[in-house]
Amino acid sequence: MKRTFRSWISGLLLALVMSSFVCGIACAATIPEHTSNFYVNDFAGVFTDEQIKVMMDKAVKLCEEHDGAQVVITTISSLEGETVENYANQMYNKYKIGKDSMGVLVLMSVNDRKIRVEVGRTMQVYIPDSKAGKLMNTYAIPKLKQNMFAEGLMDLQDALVTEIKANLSGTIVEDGEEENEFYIPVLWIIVGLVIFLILLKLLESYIEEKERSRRYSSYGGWSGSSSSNIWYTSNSSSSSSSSNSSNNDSTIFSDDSSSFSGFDGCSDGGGASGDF
Amino acid sequence: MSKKTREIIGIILLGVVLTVIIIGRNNVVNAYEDVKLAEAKVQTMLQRRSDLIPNLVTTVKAYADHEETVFTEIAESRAKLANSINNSSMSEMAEADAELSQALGKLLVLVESYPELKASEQFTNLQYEIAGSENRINIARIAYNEAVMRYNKYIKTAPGILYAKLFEYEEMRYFEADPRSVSVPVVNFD
Repeated sequence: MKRTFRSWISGLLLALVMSSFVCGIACAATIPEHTSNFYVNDFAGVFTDEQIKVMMDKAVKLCEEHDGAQVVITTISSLEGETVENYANQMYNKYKIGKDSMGVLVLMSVNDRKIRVEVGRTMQVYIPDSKAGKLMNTYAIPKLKQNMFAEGLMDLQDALVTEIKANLSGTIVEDGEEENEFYIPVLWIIVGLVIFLILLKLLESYIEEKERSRRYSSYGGWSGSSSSNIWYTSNSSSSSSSSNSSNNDSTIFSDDSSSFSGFDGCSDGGGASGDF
Repeated sequence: MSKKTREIIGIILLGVVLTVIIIGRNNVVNAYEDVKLAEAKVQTMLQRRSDLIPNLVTTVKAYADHEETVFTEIAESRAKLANSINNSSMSEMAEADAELSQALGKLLVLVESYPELKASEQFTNLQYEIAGSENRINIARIAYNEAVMRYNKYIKTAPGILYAKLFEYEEMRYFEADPRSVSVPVVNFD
């Protein structure tokens, strides 16, 4: 009788825990994972190794000197039907470019002949949309129109890095907005305490009973350890583990064999886009 | 079964029921607050674009001050948008936003016949700012609709439907834009 009750309760708890963690996530176009170079993701293959090295040097130096400011250049062959604005926004947020959103993503799609400069939330203070548009229009578009993809993007990267350096030199990047997790689970602590106390009480009475049954000769007892097992299993299933997959492509630019990645940046869709 | 065991089981069951209700309610509240947060972002972005418009109108007027109808149309739709933001009614906002987009579209067509205006740096900058604002609205709108979808899905399926009924949470509406305003205008310099 007790056994059935216990298994029934544990089943109920498991179902509860599982049902409350199921959540559907919608995702449109599949954004590729960034390469281990991170700053230059040449999916369309427009750069030579030498060009990538030049760009990587600049981007790495900028990030080191200016507290996590990142400029990422990505070329893709097709947007797969997505708009360049949405694609770039999703890519920016997936790569988490820039510490405290101090980042810029340049996305060029060769087949769609579209380019976008996506500017992170904090970076927008230094590079407003009009500046992003002007830089893109001055440095990249004329060359991209002549199919000089590598040259146009390199010039744009250089212009962006110079612009960011000019704006940031002598200024200390303050720790900006942090995602406020101001939800204090007081209720949960109380509920947890109540459950804990009940369990304690339960355990106590079980031990009592066990001792009693031992005292007055036994009749096929149960093992007290199983009751605590129930709680361990339900607890361990509640802490869902998220696996971070980082794919290591062949690194063209090897710097102490460590690969680069983003910080915590996000973008609300600022920047400029254009055709070429 | 002794009295004591029954008591203990009763307490546990009560605890379980309470926990289930609390978790369920928390989930509904979380989904609801996500929608509210996304809604606030949409409002901010709509306001942002709205704030750019006086600047744009002034710039265009300097070159084309006799195009009164377009300016009036823009002013009217902007007032309507401001009104809907104050009422924080999403359906009104979507409508006013679409109207404003249409009026702005007319303005941009009009600009084609004023080459000096089109070439002026101030106008180019404003055009980028407005295109950027419109993209931000679009991104915020996508996020809002996703939050609404998650919320609606949750309160319409088990076990969420129980809590939604229990605590009276109702279905929310998507921010549905006019199909004309969905595509973000791309600035072209041919």
